[in-house]
Amino acid sequence: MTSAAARLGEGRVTRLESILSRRLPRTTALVVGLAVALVVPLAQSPFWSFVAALTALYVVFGLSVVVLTGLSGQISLMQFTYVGVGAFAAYVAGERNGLPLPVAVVIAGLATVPVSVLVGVPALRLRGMYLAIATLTVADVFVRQVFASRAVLGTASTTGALMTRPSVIESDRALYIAAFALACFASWTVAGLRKGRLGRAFLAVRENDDAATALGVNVVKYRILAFVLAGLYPGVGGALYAYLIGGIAPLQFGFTQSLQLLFGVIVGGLFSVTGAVVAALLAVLQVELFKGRVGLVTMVGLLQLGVLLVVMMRKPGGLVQIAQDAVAWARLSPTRRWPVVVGAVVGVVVTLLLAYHRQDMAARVLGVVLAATAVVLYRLRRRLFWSAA
Amino acid sequence: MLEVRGVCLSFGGVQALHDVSLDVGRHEVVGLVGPNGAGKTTLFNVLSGFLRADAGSARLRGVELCDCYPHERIALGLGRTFQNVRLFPRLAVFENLLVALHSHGRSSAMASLLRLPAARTEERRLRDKVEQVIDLFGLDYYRHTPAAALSYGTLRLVELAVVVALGPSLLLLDEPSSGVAQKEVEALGPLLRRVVDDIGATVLIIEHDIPLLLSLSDRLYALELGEVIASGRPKDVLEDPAVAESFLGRAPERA
Repeated sequence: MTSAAARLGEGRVTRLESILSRRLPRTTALVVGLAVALVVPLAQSPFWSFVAALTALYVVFGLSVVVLTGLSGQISLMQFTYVGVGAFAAYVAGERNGLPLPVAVVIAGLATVPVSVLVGVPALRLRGMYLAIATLTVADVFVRQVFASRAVLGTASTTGALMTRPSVIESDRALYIAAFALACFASWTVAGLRKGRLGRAFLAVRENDDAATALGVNVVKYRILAFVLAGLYPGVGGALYAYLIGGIAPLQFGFTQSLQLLFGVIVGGLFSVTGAVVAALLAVLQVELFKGRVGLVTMVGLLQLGVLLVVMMRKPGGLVQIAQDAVAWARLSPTRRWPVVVGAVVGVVVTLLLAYHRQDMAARVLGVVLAATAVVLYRLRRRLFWSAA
Repeated sequence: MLEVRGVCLSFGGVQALHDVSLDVGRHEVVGLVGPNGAGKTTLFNVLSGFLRADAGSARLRGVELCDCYPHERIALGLGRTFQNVRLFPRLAVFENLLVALHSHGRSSAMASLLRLPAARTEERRLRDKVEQVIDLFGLDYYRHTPAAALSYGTLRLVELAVVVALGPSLLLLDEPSSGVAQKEVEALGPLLRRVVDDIGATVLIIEHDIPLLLSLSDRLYALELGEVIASGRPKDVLEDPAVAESFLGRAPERA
């Protein structure tokens, strides 16, 4: 540590720096983190298992965006349509035909494949905005025509249907364990993509499809495969989602939800599993924990909007990249910069906590003041922190 | 090795290629010269499958290329570079090279996704191969640099390394010296020579730098307006009056 700091021309190493940069072995940290994520909600009331299960499923949905948009460079506004396809398939297989849960889940995953191929083939000729519009149309068709059809629902109404959980996942706790396992498995596969043949082919296609073709990558195959993969995860997750919520309704699976998911993952970070996890935490935090607390939801929304703007202009990697860059920035001059980074994080957390506990005007005003201070500090950072260095 | 017979291609009313035939023998380095718009790159695009010829055939080691998809031609042993470098800008040099080995890999999408042992063994093998190419081109310093951060000269070198990593039996080089400083062009000649000898490839090369071309090629074809107007030993072709006129402009009248 001392040598690293000395190399950077910084004589002293503060205690804060040595604490913050001491590296836990990665696997140990990961295992401990996962164990905490699994055990803590289970130890609380069932409500926490419900929230945790929702988060885990959001991770699964978010990963599909990481694969499709982050890795293979295609934009889709129908990721929640896949969730719907999975949910409705589970309803038809499990609820209406009484098939056992594992079979229903597998069917939910497989049901997305024809949809992916059907969308993926015309999508070969579309990029960016046009692909987004095309998928948006598909999403709308599904909401209006497929999910709301009496043939699928088997009921007189077209507004939705209830689902009864099979005994294995009857409790919220059991359902959370299932969702957690699914999220872990999905994360594990996506995390390894970049280091393997499949993920590299996705990246090559995203970066330059002519060059990819010239190197023997079958562009058509991998663009469609990306769609299929990005449909499978939410499809399987969608089955559990339907059981978790306890029912299905066409309007749950519209493009608004897809749009929120896409924005969420862009804010969290498009290029890594961590990004999907951050997106899931933010989404569930907003939807479930702060239910009815309008002020706080607005504030988190504003915060996200701010991050989204920064992301689009400066940091394509989202919050994950912002965190990485902040750490790298701090390490260049630890004594002066670590306090700034830690201060910023503490500021955000304190603002949110204040708003959570004191839902009055004062808290919101305080939040705005803190945000403004942060911006001013950022603008003045050269004078404040660089001149002395 | 490569037999091109009567290839025709027109864009609307413009005949880009008209009845082009040429041969490249095993381990031969053959140059293509001609003014801009002569159809040199168009011919490369037809050979590598980016364009479909209206008529004619192109056989690589007896296999009809026109029946294959572009990515299948790579598996048959075709490798090409582009006039303006086309790499993967946000990927590191090492990853760029790994993509080149895509067609050397056999593992299925499923095996790759689930990180099955076979896929992992294969991945290690491919990484070893990339190390060899990095050594050959002396790219060690740049292995983690994203392609977008490289200077144009280095980019050219990486592009060459990427194509060599493909292990092609027929190499199509589209103006390897374009955009490279004169001093580096002089270094490019020996490097290309070494690469060609090293991988024992057959080469078809488009090049405007005459000294570089002369130092490399065994034979030349001259194209003008989509037609072959001369072929043979480099010196003879370049001295051919028709070539001189189309390529360099009309010779000044001697007093």
